[in-house]
Amino acid sequence: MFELSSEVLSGLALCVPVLPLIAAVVSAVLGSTRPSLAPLVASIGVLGAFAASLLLLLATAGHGGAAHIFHYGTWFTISHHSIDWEIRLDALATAMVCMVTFISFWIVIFSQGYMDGDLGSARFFSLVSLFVGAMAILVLANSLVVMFLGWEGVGVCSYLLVGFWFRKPEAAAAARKAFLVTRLGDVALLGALLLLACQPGSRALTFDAVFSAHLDAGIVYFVLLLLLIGAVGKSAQFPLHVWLPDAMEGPTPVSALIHAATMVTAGVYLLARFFPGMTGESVDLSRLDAIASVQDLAGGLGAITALSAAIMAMGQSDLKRVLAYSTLSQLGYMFMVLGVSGEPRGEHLPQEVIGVAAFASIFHLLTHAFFKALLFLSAGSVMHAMGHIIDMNRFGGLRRLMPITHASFLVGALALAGFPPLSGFFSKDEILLELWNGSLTGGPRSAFFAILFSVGLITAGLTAYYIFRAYFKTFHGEEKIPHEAGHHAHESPRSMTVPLMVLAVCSVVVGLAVGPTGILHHYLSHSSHWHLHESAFSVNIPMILGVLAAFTGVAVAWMLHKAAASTAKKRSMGLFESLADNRLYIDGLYLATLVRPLAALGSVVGWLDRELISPLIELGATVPRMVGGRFRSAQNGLLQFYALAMALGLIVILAMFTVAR
Amino acid sequence: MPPEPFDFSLTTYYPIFLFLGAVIGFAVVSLLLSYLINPGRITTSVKQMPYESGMDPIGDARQQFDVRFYLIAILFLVFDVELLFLYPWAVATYGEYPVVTPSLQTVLFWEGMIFLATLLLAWIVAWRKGVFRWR
Amino acid sequence: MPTQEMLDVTGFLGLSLRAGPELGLLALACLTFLGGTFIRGRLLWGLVGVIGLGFAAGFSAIQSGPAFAPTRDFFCFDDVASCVRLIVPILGMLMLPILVAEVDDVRAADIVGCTLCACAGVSLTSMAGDLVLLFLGLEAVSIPTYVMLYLARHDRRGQEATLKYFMLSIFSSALFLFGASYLYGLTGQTRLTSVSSNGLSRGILELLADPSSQRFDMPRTLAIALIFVIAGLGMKITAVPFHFYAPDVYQGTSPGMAGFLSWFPKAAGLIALLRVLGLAHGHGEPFGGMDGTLIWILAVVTMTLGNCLAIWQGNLRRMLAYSGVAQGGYMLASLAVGPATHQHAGGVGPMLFYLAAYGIMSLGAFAIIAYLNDPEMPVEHIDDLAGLGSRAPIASWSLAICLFGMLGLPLTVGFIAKAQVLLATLVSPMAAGSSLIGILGLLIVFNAAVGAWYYLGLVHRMFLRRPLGPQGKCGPKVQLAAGLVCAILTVLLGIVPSWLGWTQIRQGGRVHAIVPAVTMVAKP
Repeated sequence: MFELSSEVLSGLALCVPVLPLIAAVVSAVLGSTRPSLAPLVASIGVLGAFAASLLLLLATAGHGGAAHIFHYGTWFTISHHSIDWEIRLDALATAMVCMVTFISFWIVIFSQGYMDGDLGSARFFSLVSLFVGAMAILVLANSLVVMFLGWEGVGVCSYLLVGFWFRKPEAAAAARKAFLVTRLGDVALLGALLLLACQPGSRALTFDAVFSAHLDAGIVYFVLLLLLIGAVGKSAQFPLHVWLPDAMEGPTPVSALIHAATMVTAGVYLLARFFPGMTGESVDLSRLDAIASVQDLAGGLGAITALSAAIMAMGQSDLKRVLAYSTLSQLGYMFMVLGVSGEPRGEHLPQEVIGVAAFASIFHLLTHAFFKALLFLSAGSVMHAMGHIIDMNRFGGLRRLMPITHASFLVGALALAGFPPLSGFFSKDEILLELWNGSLTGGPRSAFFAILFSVGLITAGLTAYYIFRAYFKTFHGEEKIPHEAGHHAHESPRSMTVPLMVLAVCSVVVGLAVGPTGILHHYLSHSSHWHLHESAFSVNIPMILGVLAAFTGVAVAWMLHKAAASTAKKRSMGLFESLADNRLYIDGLYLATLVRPLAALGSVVGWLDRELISPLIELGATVPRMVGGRFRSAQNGLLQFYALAMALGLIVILAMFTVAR
Repeated sequence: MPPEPFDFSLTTYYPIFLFLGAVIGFAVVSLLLSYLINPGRITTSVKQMPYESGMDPIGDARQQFDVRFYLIAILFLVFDVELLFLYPWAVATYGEYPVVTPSLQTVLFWEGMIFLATLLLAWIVAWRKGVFRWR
Repeated sequence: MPTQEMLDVTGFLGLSLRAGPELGLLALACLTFLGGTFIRGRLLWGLVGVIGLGFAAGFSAIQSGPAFAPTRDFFCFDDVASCVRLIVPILGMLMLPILVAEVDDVRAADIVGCTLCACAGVSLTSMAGDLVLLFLGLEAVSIPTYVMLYLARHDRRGQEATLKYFMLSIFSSALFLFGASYLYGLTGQTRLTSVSSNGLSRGILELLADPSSQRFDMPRTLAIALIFVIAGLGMKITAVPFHFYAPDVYQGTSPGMAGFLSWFPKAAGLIALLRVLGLAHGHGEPFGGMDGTLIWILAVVTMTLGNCLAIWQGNLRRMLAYSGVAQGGYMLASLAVGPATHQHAGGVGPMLFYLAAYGIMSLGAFAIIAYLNDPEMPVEHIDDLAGLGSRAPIASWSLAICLFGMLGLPLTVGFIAKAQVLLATLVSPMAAGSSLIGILGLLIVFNAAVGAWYYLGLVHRMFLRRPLGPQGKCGPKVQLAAGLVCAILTVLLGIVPSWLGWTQIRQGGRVHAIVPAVTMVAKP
């Protein structure tokens, strides 16, 4: 749009991570004396970051091309690796950081109302600013080590924010669980970095250097596998997904910001960078093969997560948990499409195919951020009004009481379900289209992609069902307000409704504005390592199927809701028996054909989760404890024994090295 | 000349191992012997006494010594070791066949003085701390 | 018999001058012992000690400046020495206030003198080119430690701790001496290494590395010698199975003294190890790789068991003792990588960096614990820290930063240190030949993950728990200040680690400061 000199760009890019970090420090310092200023400081910091990233977006939109790399200094050097403070500004990073700061800003505004009167709210705003800074570092870093810094930073912030209400034991336990489980992934990511670092001839751990390095196919495979494990941990994919539903113990704005819109998408972002990037410039079949086998895994895990999370969301009565499982499921979508590997397709090169798949996942990531933040904030608004009650069985029919929240939740639900022309529709269509195209190639993986496509389609239907089930339960039917609500039971204050309205408008507009118009496509095609080919928007089969699935889901939800309402009426009044019978008949039919089997499946998945996956993860934590326990008894406090143990140790070593040789 | 390594191997140490064997052997043999030739398990109160044919022991063998004895002992040891060091020092520096050049004699003289000064210092500290006061 | 050349007067005086900081510290220690019997006062003697250490640091810095020429003889003035001789006085300056604040006016001078002695001992160890000097340096650390253990705390538990440390320490000294006597027996001399212009005088390391001089049953005898030496040093490094005393002694003594134990003897042991094994000198594999395997085993067992046992501990100082065991394991792991070669930086530089980083973090943690420790209501159990975040924010943040550093979170010096050790293990030229070293890297990563458990458990208690009972008063502010300085250093050096790289390497005859740390490359 307009030109900025390189110095100005560099300064602006630096502002994006630095302003929130400064805001974090300032609000933490102010917290003890002037806690009321903390929200203001945080919102100024985040707004500054957003302004800077918007300027960057506009300045680079016109002439895209290669990535800008800004150097600010050297962090440290290890043998021959120099780790620099550098920002890599390309289209993908700019788009991501714009989205992150924009949503964060509105969530900070929302939190001013939501956290009003909470003790330690200065701590909250400081941590949220810190989180935004860390996320900006994650997205903008040029060096993989600095990216890892941001990666760990958002993990720590998430830990501290999930445990924000640490007086609640569940919150403290959830925080620890979140940290420990994601750390498993972090270890894998660190392993990937180390593997890259110890490759002969690797001079720098930057994206460009790694992508252009001549790596063995086996190394590529292991690096990507480790990165995938890291991404699976961060993005809460099966089997490391267990932490995300529990993380809902944190304040709702945190759930909206970290556990829906931004941090959990870091895994998708990482893979969307690496899968296309690792293909290299020329077609190298063994390398593509290595990438494809990791992509298969990503797609498979994504499919498992998408379907199982959607099934689990159907049975939840906790509104926030419905949204949490929905987040899992949507992230699963993004992973699924990342699994589309580069089988040559028509005239397109493999790199192009992978690039388009990455584009689809990033597109969905961006739109999902808007509508999922919207849904969470609406849920937060409901929670705020209901006196922190989140059980959907205890309230209902709130549409007249909270009109703005109702409207924004409806918009979010429609967008999530993928109704045209809301933003979720375009991005979900893009994903389904990619899977569909993948299944049509006739290559060895086409059957796999066909399965992925059908999983995507079923999940689309289930998504529409569960989100509208939650919608009907919360906003329709008889008005029901829990006694905890007290005098709170009214529409939320302006500071909370304005962000809802803004995000609702975005959820409607963003997809339409950037999707079919090709703006995002055109803009991101400048992101290096993505070889996007131009494609025009058109109506296609997957789109129609997706919309049909969504309508079916909503219809089922509506009918079940009506049926339930009428049963309730019958019990209370004993009227309209014939009608109620009829409804009951439908109810029974659905119960037998749909709900029962799915509930059974859900319970099986839940059982697997409880009995198999959680213990497996806990096993990793138990082993060191067991080892320690074995050796504890040696520490008996007796001096003679210690000396004896030293002597025995000496004798064992002596025997090992002298007798055995 | 580079110093020649000694002809060293474990085999040259065999007298030590012989000695070790003899010591352990003696201990084992005497224990075994007393076990083999003792007349049986006669346990009377007399048999249980440490000295079957002596005077009855009076009191406990574990007596507490006053810690000041140890302090005195350590101080004595300090001067004892000092003497042990000074004698060869004097012989090496000023003896009939001094092993150092005259210019080094000066250095070694002052080294000895520093050593003595350190000891003197330690002695003053001990004195100031009241080690010599027998209260 | 010493050669004439070595005992030349000017050479002798010159050497004495080069060891000036250490000799000065020892003289100052003597003066402090003496003066303390005349004038009492914590402030006075504390200041004297800090100023003395400051001078020592400055003197060492000047010595290792651009004009610094390495020599290897009775005194080894090389990169290792010049690095350690700077770290030690600086950490001593941080250590002194913590210790002095724990004792009364009567004992202040004694504890200052002992600390000065111990600092000089670590320094001497780092420049020891001779087994005799090495042992002298080690004892100059050990003997004051016995006294300090008694001075810092003299109730029953303190006495028990002192006795345990004393007995096991002399036991380990005996083991070291036994091994050293074998080394002497094998080569006929005590000089470890010597570089002379005519190439005639050769030290133990050169003799052992030279196949032509191996004319008897060397491998087995040498193995015995080395195992005894390593075992003797293992107690100071708290390498498993020589670590048993650590938790008992840390628990029995005062927090500040536990902080002293966590670094100074450990540093002396590790540096002595790299001197005896010739790792500092860039000899290829003087001992046929045997030492590498042994240290590999020790490192693995030490870090794993240290971390696994730390998880179980409820007593704060015991937990930190085991954490210190584990940290010692990481440093041993770095040593297992081997010496520098022409292609590869080796593990010595990372080890020294880790040592410095660990010193800062550990002293910081113990300083804060000493600060929080109220004699009426001691901070013993980890739950005693619950809710500290709101009660003493500065102290708890400093402690948290130091713990984060020990855990190895990015932006702390601990991260850089761990990263260096890891890379040293992974990029090692031996990694190609033997996968053992590469496995070591993986084990370090897993151990770091285990460490997260208990370090974060402490942080969790401080910030996310409510205090369980009544809270004691906080101690002297000077301890808080020392802890704060350590925490600031932890972060600062994590962002700008090059500040820790004072020491230089010489490559191609050119002297240039290296970044970030002592990457020692062997000289031809």
